[in-house]
Amino acid sequence: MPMHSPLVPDFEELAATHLESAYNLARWLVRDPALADDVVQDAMLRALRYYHGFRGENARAWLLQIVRNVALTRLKRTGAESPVSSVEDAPASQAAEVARDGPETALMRQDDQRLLHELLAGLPVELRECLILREIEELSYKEIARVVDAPIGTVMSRLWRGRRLLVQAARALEAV
Amino acid sequence: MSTHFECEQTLLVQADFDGELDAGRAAALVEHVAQCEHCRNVSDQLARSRALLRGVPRYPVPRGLQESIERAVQKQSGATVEQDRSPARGNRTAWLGWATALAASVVLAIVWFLPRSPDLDAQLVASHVRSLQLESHLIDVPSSDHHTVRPWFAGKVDFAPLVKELGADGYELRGGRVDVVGGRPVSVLVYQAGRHLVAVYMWPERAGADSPPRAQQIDGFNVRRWSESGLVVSCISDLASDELDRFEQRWRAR
Repeated sequence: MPMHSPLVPDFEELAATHLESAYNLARWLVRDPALADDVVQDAMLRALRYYHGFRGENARAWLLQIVRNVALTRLKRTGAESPVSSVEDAPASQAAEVARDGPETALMRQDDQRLLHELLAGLPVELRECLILREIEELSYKEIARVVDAPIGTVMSRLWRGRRLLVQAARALEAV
Repeated sequence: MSTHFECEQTLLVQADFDGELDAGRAAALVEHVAQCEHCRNVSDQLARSRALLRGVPRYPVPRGLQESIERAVQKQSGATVEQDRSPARGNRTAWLGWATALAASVVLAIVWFLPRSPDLDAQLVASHVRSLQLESHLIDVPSSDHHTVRPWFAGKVDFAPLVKELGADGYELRGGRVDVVGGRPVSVLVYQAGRHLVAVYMWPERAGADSPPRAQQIDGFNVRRWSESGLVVSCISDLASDELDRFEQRWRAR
């Protein structure tokens, strides 16, 4: 293990540079602050172990790929959320639920952020992760495909499904 | 909802929206979208979803996480062993690394939150993108004659926008429209520069309300903003940065 030592400062720099992306993705995947901490820490250690094999190309996608793998493994273990779900109508029902919470829950109000978080959180994780990677982390299709370990075509259709569901749910809220 | 792709071009429209198509394919797609109602609807939904999501900030990294990762990394990499031999060096390296990290994250946080909060330039770009997606919304008064365009704005906005003819400089006026950005009505002029468009947004300057002149790039569009004759003028374009500088220079020279 001490053989990694000369690389450690480089690795620390890489880890620090992408810590925000890593933490954000972990939070969105596991939906729990404490678990997200664990996931990021685990992922960083795992990345350090693989670091000697890292060729220096696209560090962020490489690191996020590890974060995602650790996160999904944890999710499976805790059973908190199954990675593959069939919640086609979940956002809509969630929207209705949110709407029932209060009469003034139209979008574009103060509660925007909270509602949006709930809508996003209500999406199946495989759609949610694509949206987060594209719209918040601004990764390219190719990078997303690498992180989620799926063909680009699959990424494209997941992105579209996710965006459609999100817009539908937002409309359902506005219509209330 | 078994089929999401009522038109086989749906995912292409999305790829274009995400900047994943080359210019040739993007141009061909514009023609298709103009004729396909489904694809126009797709464009709307894409713009809507982005408008929703771009306001979502990243989750901030909790205090202490960096430090605990640092400790774990040092421990696993055997740095503790090395430290026994050369304590000063090991510590300094770690300290430098994480001081840099901290500084970087502070800068990141600032950079992140400034343009991400309801930033006017980002809203302008979003407005421009919307206008491109809805071909019919790009221009409400199609004309290359400033004598036609300028009076058209009267009564539609509460200021008199600058309308300049730059045909001699290679920028043909295609027309204008009124849009609402940041809750206020703005005038928009559209100029054609070869295969590119320049949208010139204008609204009255309010003391202290607008940020100083600046140039930046948002979502692949170049943005320039300055004050002129009591108005804020903001240009959004897919022109390269230096070419947009040239446009600004020619505009201001007239």
